Amino acid sequence: MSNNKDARLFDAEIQPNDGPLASILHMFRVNHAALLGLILILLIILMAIFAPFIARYDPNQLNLIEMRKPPSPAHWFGTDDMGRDVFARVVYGSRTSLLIGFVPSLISLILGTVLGLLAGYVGGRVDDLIMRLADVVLAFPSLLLAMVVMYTLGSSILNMFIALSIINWAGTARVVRAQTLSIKETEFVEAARSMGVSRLSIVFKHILPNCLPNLIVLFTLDIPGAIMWESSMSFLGVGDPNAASWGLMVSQGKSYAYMCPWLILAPGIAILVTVMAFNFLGDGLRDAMDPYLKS
Amino acid sequence: MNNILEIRDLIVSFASDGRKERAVAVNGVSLSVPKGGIVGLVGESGCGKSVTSLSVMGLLADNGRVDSGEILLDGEDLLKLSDRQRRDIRGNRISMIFQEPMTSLNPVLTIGHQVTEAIRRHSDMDKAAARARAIEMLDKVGIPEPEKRMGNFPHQLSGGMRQRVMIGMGMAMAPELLIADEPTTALDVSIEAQILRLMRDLQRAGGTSILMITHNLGVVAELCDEVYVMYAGEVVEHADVYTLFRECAHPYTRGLMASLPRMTPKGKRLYNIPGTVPNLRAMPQGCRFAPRCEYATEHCHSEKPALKDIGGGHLCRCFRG
Repeated sequence: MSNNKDARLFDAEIQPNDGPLASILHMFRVNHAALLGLILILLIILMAIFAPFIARYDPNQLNLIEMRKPPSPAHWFGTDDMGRDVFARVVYGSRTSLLIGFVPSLISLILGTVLGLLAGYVGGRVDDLIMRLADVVLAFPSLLLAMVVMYTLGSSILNMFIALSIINWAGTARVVRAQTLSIKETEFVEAARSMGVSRLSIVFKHILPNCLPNLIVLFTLDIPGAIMWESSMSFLGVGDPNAASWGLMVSQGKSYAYMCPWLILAPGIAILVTVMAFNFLGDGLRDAMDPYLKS
Repeated sequence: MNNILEIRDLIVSFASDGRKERAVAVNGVSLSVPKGGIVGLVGESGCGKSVTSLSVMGLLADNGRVDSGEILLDGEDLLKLSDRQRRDIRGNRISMIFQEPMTSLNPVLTIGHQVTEAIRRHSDMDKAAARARAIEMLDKVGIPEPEKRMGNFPHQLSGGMRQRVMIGMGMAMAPELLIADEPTTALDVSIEAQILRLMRDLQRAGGTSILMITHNLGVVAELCDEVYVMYAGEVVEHADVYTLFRECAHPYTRGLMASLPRMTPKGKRLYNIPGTVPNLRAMPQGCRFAPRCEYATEHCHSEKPALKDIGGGHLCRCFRG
């Protein structure tokens, strides 16, 4: 890892009395890539919220006179083959991408966590059933599985959520199950049981919080994954055709890739920047929150 | 009833490695803890003392099972209760303190959260009342600035402080019985003395009985009223603490005593009991200690001695008596 040195620095400077928040703040001071990622993500979120104020044009406004114009002061990123303003479409596209990034990741996070906790804590047949199901999902090519779901249910953003949740929960469930298995054997869980704490409380109050650092990292790394999946599927033509998404823009622009490179460069760079920002942040959080590195 | 805890002929076995026959870890142990007393349970690692205590708690691992016997808490057989009823007893009427204070507290929850949870689990107190009670308990077990410590995470406290928190948690509901499984093994000697004193003070003040599980005879001498010595899943000797230290009868107990490091005489090698604890699946036919015993005779190897009274309630499992 590039920030091995940083990690050591940050271990030495951390005070034993600092909480987890302090170690994250310190991580941002040392790990500039993570800080950059955080700033970029905040900017993208602001861009999505204030899209109407940033873009001067309606992203879906056709203008057949201004077709395939190169970037200019009037159209910063040029126009596409139907005369729509590419800058406006990139700005509005951030809404789709963030939605696609957050919602299915959250669904698969919750689903995977609950199933992973169940499999790890209850064990036996429940464990077998859940984990074999996860194996099936993981063994199946994800893109194919997601496309099958989209074809079957139809192209809409809701179905995209479902498809991405289906391919993502298994990884989370595996990680959570593995952690549950090791945490349930610890003395503090035994101590909690010796205090008469119920099973449900042990799972959700004692085991889950110990998985949380990993889950947050997993979540920040799932988001760029989901954005990539959506882009790939839109590029392949199984996305929601009505949503202005970056993947769809690349897909529609590919026929003019040589003549009008801005058509694929603008949304392509937007995807790249967003995915990298989340990856940087996720890596930084992983370094900061690994509780076992510190103890 | 004079005994808060009475264990009768407890047999506990474990399934392992897909083998058919189960390994018997505790073989017919009987012991009792009088109300307000401190009883020591002594033995080497693997002699079944922890399994005995976990059976009392109802916390045996999934592959463990109580095959027969009775565990009476104030006359009520715990083995006949439902899981739910036993959960209500744990942490309320019986508490347990574990060996490793470093790992017995959840690293991601604050001290206050954990102590408060234990209190609220067994009482109707609201959050504020439980918090006040938790602070009071932390103060009682000698934690400075308890209010401030409530917001701390376990890694911010030292080992001794954490064990104090565990004791405070265990004593919060004023349990009738406290099971302490080697509570000072992981601590410094100076801290050990403090913790033992704290436990005795709490026991005297609150009338809690203590079952002290340890392999440290020093702790026994310091704290206990009477002692059970376990070897290979059986009680081999039982006496009050003075009798045991003055005139222990079983060769195993003598071996333990002789293994204690002493200042005098200088230059002599420390005694150790030859051999190791027998495998649970390959127990000797006769006396279980015979293969390691310097006094063993033919008789010892062929027939198993019974636990018999050798005078004044002093029990010993040895033919030599």
